[in-house]
Amino acid sequence: MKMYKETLRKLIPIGVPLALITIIYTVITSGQNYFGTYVISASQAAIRLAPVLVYYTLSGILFAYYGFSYLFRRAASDLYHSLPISRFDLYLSTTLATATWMGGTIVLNLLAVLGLLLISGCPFVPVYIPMAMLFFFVASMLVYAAAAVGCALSGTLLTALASTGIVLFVPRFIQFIVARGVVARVPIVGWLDLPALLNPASNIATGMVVMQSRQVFVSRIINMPNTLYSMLPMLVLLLLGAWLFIRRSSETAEKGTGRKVWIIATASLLALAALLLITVDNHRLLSMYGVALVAIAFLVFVVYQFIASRNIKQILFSTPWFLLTCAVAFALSLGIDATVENILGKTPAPTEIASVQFRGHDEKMDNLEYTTVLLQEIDYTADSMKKYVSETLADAVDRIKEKDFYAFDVYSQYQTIEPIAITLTSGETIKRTIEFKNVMELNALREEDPFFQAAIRAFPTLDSIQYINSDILLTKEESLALLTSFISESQKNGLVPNSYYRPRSQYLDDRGYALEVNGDQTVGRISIAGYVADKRIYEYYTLRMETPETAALMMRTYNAYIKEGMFDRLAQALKHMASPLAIERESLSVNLDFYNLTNQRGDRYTQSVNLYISGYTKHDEAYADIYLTYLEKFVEIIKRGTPTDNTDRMFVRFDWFEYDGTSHRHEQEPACYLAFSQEDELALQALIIEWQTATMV
Amino acid sequence: MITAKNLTKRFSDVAALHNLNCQIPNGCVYGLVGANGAGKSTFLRLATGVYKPDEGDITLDGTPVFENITLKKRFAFVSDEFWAMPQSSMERMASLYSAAYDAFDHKRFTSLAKEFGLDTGRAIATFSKGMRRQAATILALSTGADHYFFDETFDGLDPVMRNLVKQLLYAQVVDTGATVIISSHSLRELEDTCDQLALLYQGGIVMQSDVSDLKTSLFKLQIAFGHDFDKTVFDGLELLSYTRQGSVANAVVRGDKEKSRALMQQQNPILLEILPVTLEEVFLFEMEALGYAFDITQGGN
Repeated sequence: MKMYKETLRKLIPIGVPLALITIIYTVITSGQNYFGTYVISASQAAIRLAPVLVYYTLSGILFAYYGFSYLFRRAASDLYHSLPISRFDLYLSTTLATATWMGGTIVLNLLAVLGLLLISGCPFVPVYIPMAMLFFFVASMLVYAAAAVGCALSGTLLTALASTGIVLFVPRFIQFIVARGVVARVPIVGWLDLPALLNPASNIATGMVVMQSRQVFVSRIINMPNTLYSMLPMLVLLLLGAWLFIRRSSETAEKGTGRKVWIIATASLLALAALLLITVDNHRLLSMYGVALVAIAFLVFVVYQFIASRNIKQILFSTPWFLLTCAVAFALSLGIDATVENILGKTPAPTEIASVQFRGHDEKMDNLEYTTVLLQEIDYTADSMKKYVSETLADAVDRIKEKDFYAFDVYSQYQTIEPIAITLTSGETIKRTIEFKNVMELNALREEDPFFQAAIRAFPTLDSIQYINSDILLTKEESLALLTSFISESQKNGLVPNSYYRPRSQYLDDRGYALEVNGDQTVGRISIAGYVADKRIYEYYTLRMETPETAALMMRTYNAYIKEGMFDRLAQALKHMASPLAIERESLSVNLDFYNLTNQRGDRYTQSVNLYISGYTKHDEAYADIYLTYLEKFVEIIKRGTPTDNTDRMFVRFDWFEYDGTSHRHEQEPACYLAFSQEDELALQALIIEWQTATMV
Repeated sequence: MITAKNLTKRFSDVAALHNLNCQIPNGCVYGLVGANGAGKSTFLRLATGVYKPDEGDITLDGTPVFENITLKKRFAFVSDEFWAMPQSSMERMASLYSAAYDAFDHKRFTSLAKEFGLDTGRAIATFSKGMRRQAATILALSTGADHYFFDETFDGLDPVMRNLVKQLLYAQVVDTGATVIISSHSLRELEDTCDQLALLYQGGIVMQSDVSDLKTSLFKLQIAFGHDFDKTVFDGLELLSYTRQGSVANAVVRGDKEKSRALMQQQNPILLEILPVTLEEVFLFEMEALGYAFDITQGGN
């Protein structure tokens, strides 16, 4: 205990500045996020709560090197080892003191974040705070443990650094390279399809490096399985460090690594890492590239040993180790080949499939749709689904084998790429990301499952929603009222709120234009974000005419914002734009969405008319003439409209926007919904057709 | 009692100590003398449990010292190069020592620092070499240990401080029965300090003895006769060396001075003087008698 306190004091020169720097940084950046102009509106990924802690984990190296600095000086090493403290207690006191400093700093950082979140009222997932604390602590101690092993193996700072880098990164680099080799060669296997040991996200050291370039890992680094899994190497390295520290001779100080075996092992690992680069981008060891890589690996092998030992004789005698390393690399390369073959060979027949799970079309996104969270829990066991998945997978494998690559058809509107997990009757689970040619067909099969039907119609509870937005104009209460109405009406009518799982149809009018008809007519959008348990969720709901009560509510809500004299201001703006006084950078935009127009087939559809005129466009006299003419014609009728919430008849959503690019002045009238007399309705329909014809010309 | 039995320590292929055997009784001031590289520092580091023996063992009262915390609480080691934590003061180092030694006496530490005139709050990095050694000695003497190991400690101390340190060590031995082990490459440094001396040569102790015994058991006998004579006149005495220049012979004799004088007087010499020998000469003659030939003032070779 005394030595622990003493070491705690010893580490003050590292602990205090780092704690202060990180906390100040965290408070400033969090303050900007939570109190600034653009505040966080939905919960962040746990790793984003205190981003500086990602880099703080590296301070484990500083703590280890400072705490064990006496190992690098003979006089210091002799002094510490002459004291009546066992080597284990020396190691333990430094480890516990480091854990205290790092743990304390991490906890303080996240408590500061928590305080700011609570004060600001910014949304967050409460469980992320303790999860992040534990994660960063494990990550920091993992780095410290690797550095402690490096120190215990070395007598100088430089060799300790090299050893630390090797202990921390080489095994993970090899793991990463192997994974990369598999992913590069099997397009139907993505990073998230790999087993846990090959998945960079499940490994803190590589995960935090990889996430810098691959966004998909950002929200996946901090989770309990990862943290618990990373505890294992952390504990192993801490124990290994203790074991090496106890066995470490005091006379190692100032003498580099000292151990021949370690030097050769390190050189071999570095050479192996270089050799494994062969697996990247589908290269083969037996090629010119492979030969060049072997030469580079040999150079690495020799140069490292020369720096570490300066013993030519030892380097010469160690050559068989390099050959062994090449053999290991070759074996690993063959292992990757075998893995690839194994993956491509796994095309289970329907009878071999016990169940299929769809992990969500948005699995790679930062947040998951709420629907995905529910759907991930469903195991599909219907024979029709097994057959469909089996055939689709077999088809994908055939295409890879045939062409050596797999081209996803991104141009088809019905095609979808979904990550799946297939549980075989043998108990094995295989994960793949494959293309389904027709999402409608897939959804139809999924709809055979009652859980799927329930899931795609489900809504998150209101208390799990942190963020609601429908329009910047509306208040949160108004958006919430719309959401509540939408949920109630959708549930009452059994509607599918998630667009991905709605039946997709394309309605083309007589001229071949795509139209939204009848209940499909879009009247607005609501986006929500929040969390369920430890998963951040979002949904982007489209409000359609199929929920008329919600549409009516929305119309009433908007119409409440109508300002008196709106049409007078519009007439004035129009007059200004028509006059020679309008300068080039001035513009007027009038947007009209006509709902419930009826076509010859008797379907009701929506037609948008966007009229834009500016000083620039007036240079084109023909254009200006048409647009000014029709602006005046439309406005003439529109201004006779009356606010409405009747969704049964034809109505228009109308808003306009005036902008002066010189002064950056802009005038925007809130949107409003207007209904017309039967006569005006007919006049408008005729005018729309007239306008379409005119603009077509 | 510290006992080394077949103690061997190698660094790479070089044996710093090879089958060393010795016994250091409690309550004495034990000197280790030898040239640079003789193995003195290695012996002290093995004795204090800093190094682990490759072969053989070193024990205190029959118990091996390496990683034996109970025994190490009784040891205080002052290395040839005193290391202090970066930017640390003596107070800071005292904190480290008190964390390690339960019996660390802070009052004694303060009083010793005062006696040496050292500022305990000043950064040790600003101390001179001599002051650093004093600081290390003060810290060691405050540990409450009963075995003190000093590696070349007196080097770099001015005569006044050297005497002060010596007095403190004597007082420690007399007052507490402590054992002090001091190494030096200079025999003269240890001559008036130690009760027992051991000579290390090429990784082994070639001789160890009680200093007073060494000094009293050997003497120089200068003798001349009125007639011609040869070495036989010394029959009956144990001669370690014999030289004759003209009519005067010089011999180094081991034995009782008075008995030897009486024996020589019987032969009626015209000159008979018994002269003391220096410790250096004692070592030299003893070494020659053992078959080693080297310059004792240089510690060997």
